[in-house]
Amino acid sequence: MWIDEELPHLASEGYEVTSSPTDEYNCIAYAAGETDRWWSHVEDADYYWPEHASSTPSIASLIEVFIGLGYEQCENAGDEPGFRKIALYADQRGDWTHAAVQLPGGGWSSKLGPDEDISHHTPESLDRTAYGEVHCFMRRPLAAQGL
Amino acid sequence: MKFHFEPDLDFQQAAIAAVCDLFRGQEVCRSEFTVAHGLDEAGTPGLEENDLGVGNRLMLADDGILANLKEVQLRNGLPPAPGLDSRDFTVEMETGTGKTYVYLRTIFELNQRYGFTKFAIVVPSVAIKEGVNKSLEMMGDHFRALYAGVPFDHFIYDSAKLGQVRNFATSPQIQIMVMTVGAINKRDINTIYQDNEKTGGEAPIDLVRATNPIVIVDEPQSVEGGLEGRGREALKRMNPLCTLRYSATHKDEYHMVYRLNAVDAYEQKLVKQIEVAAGTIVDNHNSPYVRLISTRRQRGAISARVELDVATPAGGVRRQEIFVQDGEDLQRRTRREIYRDHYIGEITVGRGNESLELRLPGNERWLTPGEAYGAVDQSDMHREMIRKAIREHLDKEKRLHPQGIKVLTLFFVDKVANYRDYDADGDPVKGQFAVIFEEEYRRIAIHRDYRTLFEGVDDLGDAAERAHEGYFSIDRRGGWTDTAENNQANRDNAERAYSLIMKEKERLLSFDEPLKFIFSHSALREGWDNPNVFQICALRDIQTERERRQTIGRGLRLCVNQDGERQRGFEVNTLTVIAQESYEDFAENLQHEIEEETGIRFGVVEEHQFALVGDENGPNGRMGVEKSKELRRYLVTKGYLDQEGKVTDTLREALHNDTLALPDEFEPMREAITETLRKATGRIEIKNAAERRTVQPRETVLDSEDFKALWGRIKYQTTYRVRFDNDNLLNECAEALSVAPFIPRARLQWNTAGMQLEQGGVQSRLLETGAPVSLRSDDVELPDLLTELQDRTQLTRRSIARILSNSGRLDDFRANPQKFIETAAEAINRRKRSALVDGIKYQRSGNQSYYAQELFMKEELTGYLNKMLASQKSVYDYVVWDSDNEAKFAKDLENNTSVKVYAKLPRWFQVPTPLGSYNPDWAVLIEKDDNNRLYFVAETKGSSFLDDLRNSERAKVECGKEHFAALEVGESPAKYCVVHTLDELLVAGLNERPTPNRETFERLADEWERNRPRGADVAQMTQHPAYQRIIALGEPAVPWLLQRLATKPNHWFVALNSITGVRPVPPESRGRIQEMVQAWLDWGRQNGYELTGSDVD
Repeated sequence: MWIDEELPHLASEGYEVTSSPTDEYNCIAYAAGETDRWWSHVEDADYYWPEHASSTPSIASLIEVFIGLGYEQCENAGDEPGFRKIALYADQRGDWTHAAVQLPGGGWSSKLGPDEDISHHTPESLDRTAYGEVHCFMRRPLAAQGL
Repeated sequence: MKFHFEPDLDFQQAAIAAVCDLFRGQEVCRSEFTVAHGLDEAGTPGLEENDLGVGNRLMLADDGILANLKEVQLRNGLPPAPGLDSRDFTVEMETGTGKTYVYLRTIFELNQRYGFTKFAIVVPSVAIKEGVNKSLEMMGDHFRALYAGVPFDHFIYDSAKLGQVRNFATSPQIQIMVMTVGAINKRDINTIYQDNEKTGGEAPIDLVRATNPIVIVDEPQSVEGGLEGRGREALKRMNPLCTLRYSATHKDEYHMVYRLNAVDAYEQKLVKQIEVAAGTIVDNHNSPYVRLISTRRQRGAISARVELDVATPAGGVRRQEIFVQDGEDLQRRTRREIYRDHYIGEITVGRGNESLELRLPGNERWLTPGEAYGAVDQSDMHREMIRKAIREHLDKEKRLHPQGIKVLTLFFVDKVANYRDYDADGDPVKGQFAVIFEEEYRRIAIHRDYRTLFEGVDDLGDAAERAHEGYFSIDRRGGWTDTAENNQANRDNAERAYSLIMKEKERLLSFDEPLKFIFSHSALREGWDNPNVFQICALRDIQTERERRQTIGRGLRLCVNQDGERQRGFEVNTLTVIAQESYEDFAENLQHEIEEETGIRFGVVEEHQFALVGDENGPNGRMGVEKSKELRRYLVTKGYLDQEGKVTDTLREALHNDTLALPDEFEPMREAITETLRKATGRIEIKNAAERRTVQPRETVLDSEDFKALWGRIKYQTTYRVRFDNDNLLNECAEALSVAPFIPRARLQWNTAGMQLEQGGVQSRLLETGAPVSLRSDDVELPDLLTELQDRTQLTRRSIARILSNSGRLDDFRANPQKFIETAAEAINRRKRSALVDGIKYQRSGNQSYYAQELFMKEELTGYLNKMLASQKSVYDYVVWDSDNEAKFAKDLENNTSVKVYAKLPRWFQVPTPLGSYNPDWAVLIEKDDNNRLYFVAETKGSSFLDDLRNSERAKVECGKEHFAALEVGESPAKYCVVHTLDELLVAGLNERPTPNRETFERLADEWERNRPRGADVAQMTQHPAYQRIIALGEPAVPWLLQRLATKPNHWFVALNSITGVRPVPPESRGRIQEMVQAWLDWGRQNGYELTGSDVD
C-alpha cells in the first residue's frame, strides 16, 4: 500500500481506507462536503473555485473559501458538540496543501489528493508530509449544513 | 487476594547465594548461654533458675570467609576485596526488584545451611518497618512451604514489650526482630540500653549481644547516621556475627557481594518502564515572571539564580536561567517593557535560609527556592494534572482490566487540607483536590473513549466519590493530619498511616474494591509500595521537582493480576509520571539524581565492566576483574577512554566505523566487549573532525582563458536602491496580518515521552504530543502595543495604527499580547521585505569594485570528506556540497561534455540585498555544438520553482536576478537561472525546446503520472518538471494530450489550456472531471484532431 510507504507516521498511528482512489474530487471539495468536483484556485484551467475567494495559492485564500461557507477560525481540534470542524494545512511558505474534516465523535477524515479517502485519529497524523502542516482549525455550527 | 511469590528468579537466587556462600565451610552450630529469670507475676524475684539462651556461632575463620568472598565477587563481576576489614557485606539491588524478599529468604537459607537462628533487621523509618512486617506476614506461608515448615517467629521491637526480646534470646527457633534505628541510636535514652526487670534485670541489648545476631540493615545509608555515625556505632553494639546491608543506594560499599543497579534492572525488564507525561506552559509571557532557583555566595559576592522571560534577538521570548544581584533592574536584564519597575532586592544565602526579595511597583515579595512570581495559577495547573492523571489511568484500565490487572494511581500532596479539611464542628469536608478530582472524573467518564468502562454505572457522582480515598497521618482522635516525624506523637500518627497502607495493600489490588485513585502526603511517600501503581502525580504548591527517583520508586515494581501473580513485560508494565517540566529536563535531572544517589556513572567504563564477559580461559568461564582492568588500561592508553574511564570521541568513531583495535588475547571476546562499550557510549552523534580537510585551488583551471572569461562576466559588485508605494505597503501589511495564523491563548502542552535507562545515560524519546489546553489569562496587564511594534518594525506609530485597525485582529491582542506582538511584527516585516525586493534596482559599482580571482588562492576552503566530490573541471580539487541535490548537480557538471569549467561559488562571493547578503551557488561555462559559449550563474534548489523557496530565500533570489541583470553588458553576458537539474540549465539557458516527438511525450507523461506530487493542489502537480516539459513541447503535443485524456483521464487540462490558450469547459462543468474531459474532446474533434488513438504507436 502506497500510504504505508509514503506516510509511515500515518501508518504507525493507524488509518482506515474508506473509498477507492478517484480523481473526481479532492480534499478541499471533500472538506466542503462535495464529492463530484475538483476544487482548485489554478486560473484558466477550468477547475472549480468559489467566486467569493481570491484565486491564490496562499492559505489565506483557502481560509476565505471556508469563511464564505460559514466557517470561523477556532482554537483547536477538540470535539465540540454542535459544530463541524475542519483542519486546513499549509506548507512552510504559507501555501495551502490539504484539508481534513472531523467525523462525528472526534476522529478525522481526509481525501488524499487524487487517491483514496481515509479516516485517521488526529489532524496531526498527516503533519509534516507532502500534505504540509496543520495551519488552523475552523468550525461551523451543524445547523448551517449545506453549502 | 493472596500474592504469589516466585521462588526461582535468577537474579534473586544469585543475590541470596552471594551472601550464603560467604559462610561455605561453616558447620551447623549454635552457642548456648544463660538467661536469668525476670520478675514473676507477683513482682518477687524468681528462683535462681536460669533459662538457656541460644545464639549464632561462627566457626569459620576470617581467612575462610575472605576466600569465599573473593570467589563470590569474581562470580558476580565485582572487584575482589584485598582483605577482610570487617564482617560487613553489601548487596545492591534497585528499588522494586524484591530486595526485602531476598534478605528475608536469605535468613531461611542461612538457617538451613548453617543453623543460624537469630536475625535482627534494622531499618531507617517507621514506613519501612511496617513494610518489612507486612512482607513477613505475606511471605510466611511461602517460606514455610519452601523450607519444610521450619518454625519461625517475627516481631516488631517495642520498648514497652521487652518480654519479646527475652524470647528472642531463649528460643531455639528462627527469630526475626524488626526495629528502627531510632530504637538503638540514642544510648542515653533508648530503653534497650537500660537494665530492665522484664529481661531479668539485664539491659535488653545484652541479651541481643549474647545471641551474636546476624544484623540485616535495610537502606544502610539512612541507618548509619551520617558523619556522626550514631547508627553505625549502635549496630556494632549489637555484637553482630555479620551485617548484611541491602540498598539501591549505597554510600559505603563494604565488601560488595552482589550488584543489580538501576540500569541492570531496567535492561533486564525487572522493573516497570518509565514514561513521563510532561505538562509545560506555552506562549505565556504576558506578565512579569520570576522564579528563584537558588542563591549562593561566591568570593564574597552574593547572587541568585533566577528564571526570567527574556527577549530573544529574533523577537521572541524565552524562559532562561540567569544570575542576578541585589539592585538589578529586571527590565534591563530581560530587555522587556513588561518588567518595568521590577528590581531584585535583598538576597539571603545559607542552608534553609535561601531567599530573594523582589521589589515590585508599590510593594515587595519574598521568594524561596522553587517559588515563582507571575506564574500560571497553580490551581489551574493542578486541575490539568489531575485530569491528565485520570485519563492516563483510564487508558491503562481499558487495556489492563481485561487482563485481570487492577490499575492504581497515586497523588502526592503537601497538605492534608488540600484533600480534606475539617469544618468548625470538626466534621470532614472535601478539600480542593478532592472536589477537582470528582468534577474531572465525572467529566471524563462520559467521554466516548471511556464509555465501556462505565457501562452499568448509574450514579457517576457516587462512582467518583468511591474511586478515591486519602491515606494520611492519623491523630489520636482519628482525624487526618499533616505528616511530620519530628516528635513521638507525630511519628505515632504516621505509623498509623503506614500500618493502614500496608494492611490495605491486597484490598486495593482487587476488582471488588472500587477505590483506585489514592491521595497521600508527600512525606508518606516511602511507605507506598504497591505493585499496581501505574500513575504517579505530585501536586505541589510550588514548582519544585526534586526527588524524581524517589517518586518513581513508588511505582517501579512489576504489577500483579487478580490471582496475585507477577506480570512481566514492558507492554503491561509502564509507569507514567505526570510532571510539570519538559520531558528533556526530566530525563536530564533523573540522570543527575541517579548519578548522585547511586554512584552509577553514565558514559563511564568501570574497571570491572568486562569481568562478566565470557572467556573460555578465564576463571568460571569469565574474564574476571583482573583481566577487565587490563583491558580497560589498554583502552585508556589507546585514547578510547579518558583517565576516568569516560568514553571519548575516538571510541565513538571506532564503534561507528567498526575499527576498534583490540589486543590478540581479547579478540575472541570482541563481540561482547564491543556490546559492553556500545552500551556505555549511548546515542551520541558522531562528529568526525578527523575527516575534515582543506580543499586546494586548481591553478590550471583558474589560469585558463575559459575561467577568466567566465569570471570576468560575473565578478563585478553592485549597489542597490529600493522604491515602494507606502500606501500599498500598509494595505498589504494589514491584509497579511488579517490572515496570519490564529493567536492562541497561553496554554498547557502535554508531551508524553518514554525514559530509557542505558549505560550511556537516561535517554528520552517523545511518544505523543497532546492537544494543548488553554489557560485563563484575564488579569494580564496589556503592554504598549504601538511602542512594541514600532521597535520591531521601524514603522511610524501612525502606520502601525492603520495596519492594526484595518487588520481586524485587535481582539487577538487581548487573548495573548506577547504572541500577538510577535505574530504582527513577523507579518509586517515579511511584507516589508517583499516590498523592498519588489522595487529593487541594482547598479554596477564601477570597474574597480569586483571580486578578484586571486581570492580563490587566498581564502581557505574546508569541508567534510563525506560531503565532497573530486573534480577536474572546477576551480578546486573537490566540490564541497551542502545537499544531495547539489551533489548530483556537481556530478552532472563533471560528466557533461558541454560544460567546460565551473565553480561552486565560495562564501565570500556575495550579492548585497536588503535581507542580508546572498551567496549564489554556481558559475558555469557551457560550450554549444556550434562552439558558441554561454555563461551562467545558477542557483540550485530542491525544486526548480520559485514558489517552492522559503519567503526570504525567494526574495534573495529575486535580488540575485536583478543583480546579474545589472551586469548584463557586452557580448554574451552571464545569465542567472534558478534550476533543479543541469538538464534544466541546458534547456533554459540554450533556449532549446525538447524535440517534440511522440516517444518523448509518452515518456514524460508516464514519468509525471508515476511521480507527480500526491497533494491536492493542481498547481503543485503541474509544476513537476516532466509536466512542464510537456507544455514546452507545444502544439504538436495537443493530439497526444487529447488521446491520453480520452484513454486515461488525468489532469492534462492545465497543459492543454497553456498550449492552446482556449477554455472550452462551460462554467457549470468546472471541476467536474468527466465533463471537463468531454468538453476538451469535443473541442479536439471540432478542431480536426484525431482522437481515436489510431495513430498511437
